[in-house]
Amino acid sequence: MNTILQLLFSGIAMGFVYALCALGIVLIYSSAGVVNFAQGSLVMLGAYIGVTFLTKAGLPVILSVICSAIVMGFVGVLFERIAYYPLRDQGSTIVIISTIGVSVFLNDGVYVLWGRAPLFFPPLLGGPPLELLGARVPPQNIAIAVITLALLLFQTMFFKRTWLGRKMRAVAQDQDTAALMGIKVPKMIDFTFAYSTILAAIAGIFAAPLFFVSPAIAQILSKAFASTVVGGFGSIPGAIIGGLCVGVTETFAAYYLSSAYRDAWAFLLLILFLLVRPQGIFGEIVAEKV
Amino acid sequence: MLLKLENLSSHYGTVQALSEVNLTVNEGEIVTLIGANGAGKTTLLRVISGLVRPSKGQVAFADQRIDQLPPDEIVRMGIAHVPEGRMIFPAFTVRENLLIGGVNRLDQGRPKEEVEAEMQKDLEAIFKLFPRLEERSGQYGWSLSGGEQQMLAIGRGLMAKPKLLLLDEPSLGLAPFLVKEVFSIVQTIRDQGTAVLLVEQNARMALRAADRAYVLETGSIVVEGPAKELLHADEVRKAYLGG
Ligand SMILES: Nc1ncnc2c1ncn2[C@@H]1O[C@H](COP(=O)(O)OP(=O)(O)O)[C@@H](O)[C@H]1O
Ligand SMILES: [Mg+2]
Repeated sequence: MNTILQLLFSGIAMGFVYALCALGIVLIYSSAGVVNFAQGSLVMLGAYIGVTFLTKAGLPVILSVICSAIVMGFVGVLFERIAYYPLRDQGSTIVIISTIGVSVFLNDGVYVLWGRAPLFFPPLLGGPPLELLGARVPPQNIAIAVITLALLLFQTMFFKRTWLGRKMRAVAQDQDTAALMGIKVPKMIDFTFAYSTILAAIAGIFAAPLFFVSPAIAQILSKAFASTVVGGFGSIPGAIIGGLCVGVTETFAAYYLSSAYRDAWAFLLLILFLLVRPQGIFGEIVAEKV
Repeated sequence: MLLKLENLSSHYGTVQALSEVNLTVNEGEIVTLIGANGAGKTTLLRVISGLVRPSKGQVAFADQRIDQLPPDEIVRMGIAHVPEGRMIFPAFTVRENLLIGGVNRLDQGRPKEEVEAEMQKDLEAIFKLFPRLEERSGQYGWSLSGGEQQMLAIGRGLMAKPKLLLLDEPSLGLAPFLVKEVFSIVQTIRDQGTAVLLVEQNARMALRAADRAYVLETGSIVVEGPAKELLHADEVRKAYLGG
């Protein structure tokens, strides 16, 4: 029983990291109509920038997270201006290829700035594991869950209650009609890229202490894609639930079946969904799409 | 003169959708633009609202050229475009759809509270015009019937407080009694001081409701005049009113 809970909690923590990456993909997809293949590399870049603030600049954890988020917000706008905006009328294939280009550039580019050796990222929260329903949970995993849930709550309020949030949702539903309402569509797409890249930064900082900081973090992209499909592509709640499903499944499968194939389990789940329920968990609920 | 199109042409790649169109709308009138499917009516409205750039010619609104402005600035100048197919935001409630129609007023440098209070009042005025929308105000856009969606699309356009309302085939796909209601609302809107440019395939109803009319054929204006006269003109009767 304890083992099961233990696995569940660590699966959930991993799942939240996937969920944040998946959420960024879904938000950019609804707003700009583009599947962003650079999202995993942006997560990786977030981890590098986070480790720089934390260990090179010596800032406290919270400040490092905030500074990385701000820097990555600007990176998101820059990314949009380079990889999306000039190509937006050329069709989605061209834009997808350009995001793949950016991801290759980033994955190799970090070597130039940070060197080839993986960097160590200390735990976000130190201290002994906490007892939770008889399972021992590292404080870091609790921090991941609490911060992610707070962020999702903030995001829900923001999209529902603020004018900026409503304008971004309008653009995500229909760009032309949003323009006819007097909404500056390119600016809203800028904001969406900025916010999605901030989510990537946070995912990167969460992932960093679980692994080392290296381009391997960019491989989170495939887990995030699996999450979006499992949850229902394009759905915000789907990205979150999908991320949790993938995180929990792979943690259990790695423990009980084989940890050598850890990465394969997410794909098994993905293929299972594509066969049995291709629209994903939330695929049918139109109103939840944005 | 409120709106003036001069020698306006527009292309999609090599396809010419509009050629040398001249058209005006004055304050306080309903002008209808009729024509068959593919004549270029929607393109003309999209050029006015800035979604499509003209390849030649000019668009002037209240004596200012607007043909190079982005859509959001054109809305702020006082033109609201109710697009073909209603284009209701499906994941917004009726109330959210209406509010988003007035969102351009927030970017004009006025205090937010003042604008929100004003929008609340306008929302109530629109609910008076369309009582059905008030009953459904919490429902999602996708769940509405075609007639309700059309009312909502018009209401959303009015939330922009336009001087000129562009309507693209508001009667399309509606039951006859709803078509009548839509045209009577268009006249109410005119009487309340908003000029209307009404694009229609339902030529008979449009000519009855309008003050002046233009007929568009493969991108060119072929007939224009007072709507009542066009209703009886032979060439219009044969081609658009079934003889
Ligand atoms: N986005 C587009 N790309 C290419 N051609 C288009 C596009 N939209 C319309 N057209 C063409 O332009 C012409 C006018 O279309 P449209 O303005 O939609 O006419 P209407 O509204 O009168 O039915 C048609 O020949 C149509 O095929
Ligand atoms: Mg049309």
